[in-house]
Amino acid sequence: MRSGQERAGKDERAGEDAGFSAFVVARWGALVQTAYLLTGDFHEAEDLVQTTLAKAYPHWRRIDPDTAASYLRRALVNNNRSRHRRRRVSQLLTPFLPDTPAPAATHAGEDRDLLVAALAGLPERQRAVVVLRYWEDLSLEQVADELGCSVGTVKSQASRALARLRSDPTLLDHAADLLGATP
Amino acid sequence: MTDRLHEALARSAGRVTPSPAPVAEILRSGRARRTRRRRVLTGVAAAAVVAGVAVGARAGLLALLPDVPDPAGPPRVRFAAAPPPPVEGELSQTVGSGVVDGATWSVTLTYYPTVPADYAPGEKTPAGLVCLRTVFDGRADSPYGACAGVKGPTDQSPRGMYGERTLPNGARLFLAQPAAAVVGATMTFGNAAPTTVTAATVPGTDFTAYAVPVPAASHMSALDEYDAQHKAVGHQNL
Repeated sequence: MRSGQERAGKDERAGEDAGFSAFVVARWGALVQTAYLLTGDFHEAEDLVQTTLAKAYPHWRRIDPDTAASYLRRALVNNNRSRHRRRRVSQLLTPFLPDTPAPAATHAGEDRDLLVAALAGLPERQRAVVVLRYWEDLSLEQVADELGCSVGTVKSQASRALARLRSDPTLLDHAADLLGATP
Repeated sequence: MTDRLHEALARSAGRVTPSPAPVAEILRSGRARRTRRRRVLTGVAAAAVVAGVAVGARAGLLALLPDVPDPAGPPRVRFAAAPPPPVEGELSQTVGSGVVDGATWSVTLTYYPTVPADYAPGEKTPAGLVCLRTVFDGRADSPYGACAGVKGPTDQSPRGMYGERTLPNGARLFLAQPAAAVVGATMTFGNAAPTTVTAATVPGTDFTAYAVPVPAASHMSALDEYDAQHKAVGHQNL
């Protein structure tokens, strides 16, 4: 009896793992791309996604498959916020941890580096708004829901973010092409 | 404008080539998190059941809980270094010690008036060193730990340095070499009772430090530092 229950439990777990693994394989690339825009660093992006997925795993059976992508995206943003807070503290207060990575090299003419560098200069909340609104193509309401704030806050954060990007010296002549003229 | 920005973001994101999804590693880490989460919940339940029973009995009950593997997660410091040979004139002070998440830890602050011969060979080094060395379950993170160069025993340059060490069991140690007036600190957590620690000074020097153990399941919220009159002299949201 007990071995039957154990076997059933193992089968159930194996099924969950298979579903979770399939999700990871299918969504890994997209999540890393989003994380890259959020963090501005490829390696940090992969670390962030890996940590986020590992954190989601224990809750997987309770996550609706239809909303799993949204759940993971929200977790990604929240984990990035936590990472950002920890990093801010360590950068402010931690001279004896000297392994601060050197800033990524930029190459003239490559809007990848320019835009990502400009994004990295935004406050964390504004960056998240830009990524969710203009990369993930979420509505204002969806962004507000994912960030746990009001639609008005999303609008103001987006407006400020775009204004900062337009005036960002790293974008120079690209700003008008990427962002349009100042309204 | 929206389309142009979306296209630009897509170009940026599209130029990175993600590594193959590390499915096995994520599953391993996720399982460890699940086990740890269950263990915490079981521990809370067990503590509730035995409330009112003698502490010894509770400790015995909790000791029966199964061991869990080290949770995978952020990179952790390897704790396998041999202790360094003694250096003439070195001065040490234990900053803190105890048990966190079932493992013993200790942190020692040591002043080396001269840079040890085997420290960072070949590099230009200052006159002396002040080092915070962490020991976890009897093993050190590195021979000397986290060190800062100093000009002498009253050098103030190490002050204002803070950091975290993640231990092999997922717990962390928050380490600080605070400002001169600080004699202690209280760390508050989002999901646990606050922890107050006292700073320790290496005798004969101005080198002071404190260490706050942070269990793996605890979320640091803020750090308040106090002077000898217990006046708040610093606050940092974490």
